[in-house]
Amino acid sequence: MNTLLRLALCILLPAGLSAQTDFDRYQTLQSSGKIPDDFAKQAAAKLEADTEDREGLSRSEEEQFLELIHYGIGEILHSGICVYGDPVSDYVQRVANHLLADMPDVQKKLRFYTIKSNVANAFSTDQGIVFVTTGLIAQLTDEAQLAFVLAHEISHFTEKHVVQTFDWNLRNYRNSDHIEQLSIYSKEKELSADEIAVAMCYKAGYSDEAIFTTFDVLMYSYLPFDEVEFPKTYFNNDYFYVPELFFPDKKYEIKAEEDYDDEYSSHPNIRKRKDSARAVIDNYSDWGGQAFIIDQEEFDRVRTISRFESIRSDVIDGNYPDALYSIFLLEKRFPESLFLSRMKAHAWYGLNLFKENNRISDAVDRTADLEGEIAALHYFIKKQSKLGLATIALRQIYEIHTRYPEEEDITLIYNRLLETIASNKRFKLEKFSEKTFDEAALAYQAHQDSVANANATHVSDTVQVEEATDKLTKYDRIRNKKTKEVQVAEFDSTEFYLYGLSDLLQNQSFRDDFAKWTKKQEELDEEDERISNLSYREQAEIRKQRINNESHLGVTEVIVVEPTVMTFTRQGLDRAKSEELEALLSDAIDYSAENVKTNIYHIDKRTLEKEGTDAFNYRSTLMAFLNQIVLEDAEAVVPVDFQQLQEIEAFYGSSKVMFTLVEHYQRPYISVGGAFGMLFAFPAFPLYVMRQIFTANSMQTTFIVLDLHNASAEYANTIYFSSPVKKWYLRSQVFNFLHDIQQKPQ
Amino acid sequence: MKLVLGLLFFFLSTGSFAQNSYGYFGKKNVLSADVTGCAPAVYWFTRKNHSSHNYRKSGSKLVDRNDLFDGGINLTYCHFFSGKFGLGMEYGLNFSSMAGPSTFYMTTAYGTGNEYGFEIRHEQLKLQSMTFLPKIEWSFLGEQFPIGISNQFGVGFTTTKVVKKDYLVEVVSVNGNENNLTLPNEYDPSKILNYENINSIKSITLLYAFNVTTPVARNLAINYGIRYTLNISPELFNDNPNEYYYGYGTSDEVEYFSESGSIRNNIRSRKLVSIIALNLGVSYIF
Repeated sequence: MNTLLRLALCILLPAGLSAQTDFDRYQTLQSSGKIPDDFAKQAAAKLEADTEDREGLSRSEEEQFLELIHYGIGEILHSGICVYGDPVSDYVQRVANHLLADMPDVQKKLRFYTIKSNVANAFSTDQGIVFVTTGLIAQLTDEAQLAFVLAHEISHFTEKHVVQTFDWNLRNYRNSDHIEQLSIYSKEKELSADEIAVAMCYKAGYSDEAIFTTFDVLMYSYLPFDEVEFPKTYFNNDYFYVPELFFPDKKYEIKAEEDYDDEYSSHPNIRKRKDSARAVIDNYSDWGGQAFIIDQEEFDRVRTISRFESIRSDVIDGNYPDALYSIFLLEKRFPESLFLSRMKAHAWYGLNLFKENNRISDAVDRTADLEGEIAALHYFIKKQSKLGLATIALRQIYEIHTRYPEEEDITLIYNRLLETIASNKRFKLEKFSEKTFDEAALAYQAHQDSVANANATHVSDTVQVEEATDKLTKYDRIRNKKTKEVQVAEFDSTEFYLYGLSDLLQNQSFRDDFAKWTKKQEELDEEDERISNLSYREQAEIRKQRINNESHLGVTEVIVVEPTVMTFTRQGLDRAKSEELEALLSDAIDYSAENVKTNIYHIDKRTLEKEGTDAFNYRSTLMAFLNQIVLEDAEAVVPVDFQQLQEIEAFYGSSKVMFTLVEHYQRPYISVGGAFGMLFAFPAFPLYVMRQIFTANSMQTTFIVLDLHNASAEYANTIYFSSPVKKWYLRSQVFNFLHDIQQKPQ
Repeated sequence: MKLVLGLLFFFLSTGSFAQNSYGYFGKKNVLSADVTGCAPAVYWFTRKNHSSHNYRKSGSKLVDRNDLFDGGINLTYCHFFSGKFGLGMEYGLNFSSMAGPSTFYMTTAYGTGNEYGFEIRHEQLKLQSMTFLPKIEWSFLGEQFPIGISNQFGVGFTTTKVVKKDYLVEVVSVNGNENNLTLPNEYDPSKILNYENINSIKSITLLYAFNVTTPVARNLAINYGIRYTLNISPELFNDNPNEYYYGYGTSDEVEYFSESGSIRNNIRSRKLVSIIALNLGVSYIF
């Protein structure tokens, strides 16, 4: 089997090497190949199969450790952001293979997976999995740096640092200075891993300089992957102009220092790590390594993929200014990239939404936190008014839409933006000038000049104008202000955005689109007005009808993603119990679907072994969609993976997806004080005991139905249950929900 | 009653309609049959304080021993208006007992002038109560009705009567003289237990119950919980009959013995201290 596998790798690897990534039509990293056991097998099965001897741990401690590593790592593997068999993981594997060329046994034990996250990190687990984030790869400058990071993680594995730290923690967690001591212990392990990693890099022929720059990468990884000045003219074109006053007039210094206080850190500070590495390197007098050994081109491809992924992650996480800065960095190299335009549209749409919902501080850094070149963009966005930001978003998205009119998701973003803007009472096209900023400025200048001339020659005219103005009533003045268009006689550069739609105002198609959404909004307002004039009883009836219609979706087919359950006992999260309840809930879904006669299609982490990589990818895509909805706190979002969602819809023939999220608490607690107190009120004692036992069980179940076709959250319902959780109760709960969404809206 | 209506209005007006589907598999009606039981410890305690005796039948003899168990059955229909609120009607039959109208009797032996003291021991009285009780079921914590934990509040009406039967009566000497251990002529058990005079005791019943309903099948659940009841029997509903009281001394002062009034009072006290009970039953959900 091994021979066959190697043979297959020999055939496939060159094919993989020659693979090119179309960055213009980039799509997010997906897993490929046969699904590894790490992903296919359930934590309980892995735990049972794990027979490795953990020296120093008692049986119960070992059970605790195994539960921690298998269930804990299982959560990462199935978090939807972890991928296998992708170009990044494959490249990382190749670099690791080179490092481990003379350690075939270790090589066989290790598996390398990529996590799509902007946290620059890599970590290894006791079971031999090494995770590397795209955020880390995006920051690297050469292969040798990656090699050093991998060597460091591999040495954690070979030296069994995970289990040793667990063991140490068990024996010392009661100490009063436990945190400080743990930090010291952990730092020793890190320095030890660095020392071994240095030796591995030397053996593998990698450059020693890269080791020091790797520490720099880690230190500055909170900054974008490059430090390029954001031009103040970035937004300017023939029709749009942003005055420089909206950009900071100073540079924001980068504050990170090598010698920071690491008293409570798990890792030594960078200065100590560099010094320690220097001491080891000094032992090698003949060090003469290279920055690239495997493939420089491949490194560049993988890093670019990671950078593209970092933009996607920022969009999902709502870090829109960061995404825009990364787009700015990459669009010079990939000017034709549809992906970058798509993400830019997402980012501006998200920013406008956050601003409208008064959540802009969730996306933009506080002034005190501004650092580096990206600070200019954060500063600029921070300075914008609601109307200003809406105009910039419209301008940017309109241009992208004009460039890619065939792209459905961009059209969707454009329409949703128009819908949002149309609902903003302050955004009226009449407010905007038909002149560009430059034209208006020039006209204003000319006007000022003519006024100056007129003042000199026609004093009597001025007096007449003043007299006419004096005759206006208070209400005339108010009316004039309300209906005021941008006048030549008034020009305020801080309201630059009012001159940013001059070409759009002349575009009938845009006007029609905007009018359509405005009309829709007016109809909604009229409807609200009509309802507010009805009697209380009629209003209640309408409200009830609306609530019913919210859940009556006519769903007879649904894709069901396995329930996510978290059971908390008094000891904290109990993963084994969570998995048991997950299984019970899945059974309830099957039972109820059969009884309600709803067809369900499972995308379930427990059946991945059978369903394979496609199902795994579908699951990850759906989870990203759900994350985006939760984060944006909006019913309708435009999914970052729009195309993949359409594929899923086509594959299953259903556009509805159901998620079930459960928080379950099982914390019976009878306090000695409470019980003692109850003895004085004897008849209340049994009630106290019963209440403490039964009400300590509670469950919060959230059902969410997403619509892939409309890219929206159709319905979400949270039900609180406070009793011991039983099979039949779960069945009833799911039955009610499926029955509810099966009803047709009236 | 106004209070009940007031509460009902309050709950109906604030009832949650936020969740569209509620009920157990969408079903919102429940018919429950429960047995209730308790060890009447409060009664034991109060009785002991009053130094009264509770004579239970043991074979053909009476022994002074507490009854260990009060029991009953409840039938309840409840309709749930939301996952947090329901209205129901409970019919309950409860069986309990209380100390009988035992008494002391002193007499003087004809010719000798010796005084003899007798204790007339009366078997404990069996009581049967019937309750009609409208109640609300309310969940403070979740939206799971008709299953899960519920808090029940009710205000109802209970009638209690002494069960008609041949109660055993024994005469025991209290001063060691074992002669003449026969009931005196004036002591007529049928008059002592004048059922018509005792009539039924009417009480207002207040209920709080903490109940757990655990489903075991598609339309079946088991219930268990704890019930606190307070039976208040005001004078207003319970006029004592115009009756004679027995007395000591010369026979012309005694017409006949009657304890109807004190029995009625004892029943009222007995019901008042029936505070706590456990219940277990099944529910049919439809």
